[in-house]
Amino acid sequence: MTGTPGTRVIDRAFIERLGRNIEQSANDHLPQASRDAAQASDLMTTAGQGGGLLVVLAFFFAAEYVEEAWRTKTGTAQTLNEAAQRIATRWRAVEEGYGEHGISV
Amino acid sequence: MSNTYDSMAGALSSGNELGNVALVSSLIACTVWPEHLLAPIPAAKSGILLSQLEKRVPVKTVNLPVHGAVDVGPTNVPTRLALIRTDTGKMLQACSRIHESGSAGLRYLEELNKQYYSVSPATWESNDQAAYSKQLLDYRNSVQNTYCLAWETALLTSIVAVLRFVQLAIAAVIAGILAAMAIAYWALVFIPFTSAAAQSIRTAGTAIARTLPTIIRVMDEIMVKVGWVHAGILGVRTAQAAISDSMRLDDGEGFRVLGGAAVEVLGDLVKKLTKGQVNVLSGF
Repeated sequence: MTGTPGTRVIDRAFIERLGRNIEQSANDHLPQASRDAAQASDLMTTAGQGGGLLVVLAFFFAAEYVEEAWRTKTGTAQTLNEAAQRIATRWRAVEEGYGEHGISV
Repeated sequence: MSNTYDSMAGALSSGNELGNVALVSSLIACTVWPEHLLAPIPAAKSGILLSQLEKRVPVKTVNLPVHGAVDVGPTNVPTRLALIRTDTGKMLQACSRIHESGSAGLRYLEELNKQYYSVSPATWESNDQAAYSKQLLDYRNSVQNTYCLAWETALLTSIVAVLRFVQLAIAAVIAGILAAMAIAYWALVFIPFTSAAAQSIRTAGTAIARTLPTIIRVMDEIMVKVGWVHAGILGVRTAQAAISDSMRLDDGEGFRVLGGAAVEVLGDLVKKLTKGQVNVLSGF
């Protein structure tokens, strides 16, 4: 999705909503995803031999990664929301006549 | 929310009991066929640690009351059966949880797709939109990567759990037959005039007692190979997810998480390995 040169369409309410929805969806799903991964790791520790040391370690490694990755992705969603709110605020400033500024995400 | 792995966990929940049955049965059978069941099973291909155990702990010759001199090795049938005891039901529950973790990520991905495709020239068209959409697309792809990793972890580990269950079931059946024969043998030994019948049971069971160590060894060797493949694929996939996250999100985040996961596993290794009596002797 790239802009057409010379045209500019800015629906500030849409941009604000887009950012909020991204963060809200992340908050709705990712904490549970992270908890599930942590539980998986805990369950594996109670599985006895668990298919061998290598199998257990590879499982722990992947589960820890998934758990932490969901946590950091929740943070990234928050950053994306903040970026969207910043963009909307800057366009408001432009529209209200404070001059055009370079806008970056 | 339940999934296929929950159903499998129910079906394979008796793995732990099968392991215990195999172990106890083998101990009972040892009273009749100690020369076959207490002798060391070659462990050269049964993993690094088990083969070290075989090398470092010498075979001892023990004089038993009925059977006379018998070689007893560290990698005998009861030891090997004790080492492979696995709660396959718990393993599959762990698979179910990590699969659910991926499923929650997938639900998020679907919502994220809607957000991504809601950006249109009618709502937002400018240079910053192009930059923002690129970031959003990279983020969306990194979410997809993580959910795929979670699902692959569940799938690969469930295959190991099923193979382990089969191994335990076979061991339990064969050791169970030997235990039943051992009980019959001892009953006949102590009943007058039936010692010939007792000997015929012992002779009949000898063929099975000779086979059991071989079966255990071969199945263990298969499990070690399966373990290497599992760890290899999963290790590479986890690293790939981290590399991909780092490249897509352009901030080294994936590498940081990968390092964090490695430190977490290593830091917690003793706790993790002792908490559930995950033994370190086999399968490595």
